[in-house]
Amino acid sequence: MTRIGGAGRTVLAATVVAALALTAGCSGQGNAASTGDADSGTLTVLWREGQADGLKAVIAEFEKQNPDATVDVTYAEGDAYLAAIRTQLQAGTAPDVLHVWPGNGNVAATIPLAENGSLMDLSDEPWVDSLSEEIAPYTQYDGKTYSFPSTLSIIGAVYNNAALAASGLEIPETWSDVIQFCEDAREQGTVAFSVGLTSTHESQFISYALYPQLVQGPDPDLDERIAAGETTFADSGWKEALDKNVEMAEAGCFNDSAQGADMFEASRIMSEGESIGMVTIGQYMPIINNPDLTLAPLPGSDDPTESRIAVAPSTSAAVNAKAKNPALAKAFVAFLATPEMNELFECNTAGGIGSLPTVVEGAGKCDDSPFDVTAIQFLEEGRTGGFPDQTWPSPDVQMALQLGMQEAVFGGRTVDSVLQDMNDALLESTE
Amino acid sequence: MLKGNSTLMVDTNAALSPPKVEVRSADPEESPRKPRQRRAQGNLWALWFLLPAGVFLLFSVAVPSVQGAVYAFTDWNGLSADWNFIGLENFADMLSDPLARTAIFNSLLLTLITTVGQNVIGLLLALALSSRIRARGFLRVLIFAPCVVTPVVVAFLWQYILLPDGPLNGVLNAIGMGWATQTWLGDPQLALISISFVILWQMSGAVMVIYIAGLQNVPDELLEAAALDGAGPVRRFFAVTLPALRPAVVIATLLCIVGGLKTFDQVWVMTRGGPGVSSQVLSTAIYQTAFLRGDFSYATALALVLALITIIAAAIQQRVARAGTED
Repeated sequence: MTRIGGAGRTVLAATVVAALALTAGCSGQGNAASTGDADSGTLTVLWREGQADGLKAVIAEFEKQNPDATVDVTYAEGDAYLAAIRTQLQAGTAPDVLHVWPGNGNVAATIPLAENGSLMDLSDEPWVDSLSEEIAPYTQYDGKTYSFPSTLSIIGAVYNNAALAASGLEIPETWSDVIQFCEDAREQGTVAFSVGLTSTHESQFISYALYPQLVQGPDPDLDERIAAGETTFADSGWKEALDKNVEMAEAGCFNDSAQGADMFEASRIMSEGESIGMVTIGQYMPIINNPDLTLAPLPGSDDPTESRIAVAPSTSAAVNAKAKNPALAKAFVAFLATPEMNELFECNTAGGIGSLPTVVEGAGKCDDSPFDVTAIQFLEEGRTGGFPDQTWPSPDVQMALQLGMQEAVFGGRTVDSVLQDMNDALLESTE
Repeated sequence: MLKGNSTLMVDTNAALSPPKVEVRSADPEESPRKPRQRRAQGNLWALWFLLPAGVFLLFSVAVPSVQGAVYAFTDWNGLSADWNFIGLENFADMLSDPLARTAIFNSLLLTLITTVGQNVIGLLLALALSSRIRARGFLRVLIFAPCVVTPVVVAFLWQYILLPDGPLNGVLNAIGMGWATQTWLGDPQLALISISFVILWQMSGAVMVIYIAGLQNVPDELLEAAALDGAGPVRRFFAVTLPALRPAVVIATLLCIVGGLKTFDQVWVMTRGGPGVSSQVLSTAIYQTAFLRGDFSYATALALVLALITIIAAAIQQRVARAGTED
């Protein structure tokens, strides 16, 4: 090998120094935020693709009322969104306004981001007082408000009205009715509920639909009691909820392709009437793309009056703590939080089906579908509960549930082992 | 060059190495310095030309890799400015973490299946399409074509084909083989095998091309001589063709090993590592841990393990290949 002389060593040193000099500029701190104006300049936004239509409608109104302001939006969806938001926040390149999830249990949720100092305190904003007592906790960390939830999302049993009418069956009102409904549908050569388990989150919807009735209602402080070692997931209503999921599979409630299908296939099956229904979330409505649907609770017992629907805050707007244009960012979120714009956003998201506005009294203009009418009725009757992951201390608990039930639904593993994994995940994250 | 032994072994390395030329000057004291000076000057110019690429490589690969590797020994969550050194705790956690153990095992299994499969299938295709069959040019293009398609697109296509109600099961039912239909991606026992099959389908054509190129270097006169000596096709293959293909085998195997260990697209699109963690591999486990669970330090530790496995695998493969040439 040829030895490198003094001049060659100089070249090598120059290479290393140049590289290190370039990386020294990558401090990850980003530029210092300026105050900016509340009605001019360029506002950058990072938002989910699934809610793009709603946001575009609000942006059009915002730019009309603020002609000197321009809004640049970047969209992403699913895993790509989670990767994008954290990477950009860490690198200091995140936009001014961000879509975040309410509460906890998600790497891009309000609480973990606020805890890391990534979000701006919005406690002094005028819209904070318009949030209801039920919704406010999901927007807060350490007593301060950090996000505005634009919509309420809904989880329940959704039925294709045409397929239901063709089957001659009725929507089940008790747990025994559910099993009978499944068996009757099978006898007719159809399927009661479609599901696509290769999409990881599909495996959680049955238990999420049963959560308000079987878990949250009887034991609203369950998570804290588990963290304190006073009880376990296995000794809670979760055991019954997951067992019922398996019982539905054994009763033939699900499509034969359940294990190999994904959420899009499951949605297609229900939308085209190959199954009568689907236990799903309101955010699937754009994918299902069939407005002739009815929402009902998935009964967890044989007392119909005990049935509940899961309704929880969803799509939320927050301001980057290092926003380049914080005044304009706050002004945009405040604009979004007005009842008129809140309704406009919700109505332009899947035609308003499957979600409800958060700061509108009563039903919104587009909430007259059978789906939304049922949700409003249950809300007014106080027969709703939340989504469990929004109060879990880390995403590991939800992941343990999703991955575990992917296998457990069709007997690949036991429900007890899934509950043990969920327990371990919650305890580890609270250590 | 024929070494002249009864086993007809061929020293292809000797044939491929350029001859060495030594220049001697009349003045024994003065002459060694001038060629050495000229070589040093030439090396210096080469180094200056390499400087921009070297800076880029250091900036974009080396420095971030070292920076990232440090986080494997911390509890950094990817966002917070505060973190603590925790030593080897992340690596110790891997020993009891079913996700990590499954991902490492699946990565090795998938790599083994795809490496052996691609090499066997690729070699057989190369032998078949190096013979004098009609339309061999068209067939070579047809078999190579999937390689140029993005793995994500191929994965989406096969995800549809492998649906329980999809075309594959439909064809099996149509030809009276309904007993063979499976939940290809939804069965924990079959998910990883199904993904391996998709990789074999897509990438065997690339290995075929490597072997076709290698087969061009097999001396025809050796094959003819072997045939004249009474060696049949199988004996000719193992005694003449395969030794001549050693460089191609080395390249193809190394590419397959590295490709197998870093597989991500097909697994993520088709199963997301499911059902459960049954088809989870290291790449998907790293992505899931970093971006969906927010545990950056543990994800970096997994990435270091993947890098270590890749280095060890490549080193073993190179040693075996070198040992073969020294025989």
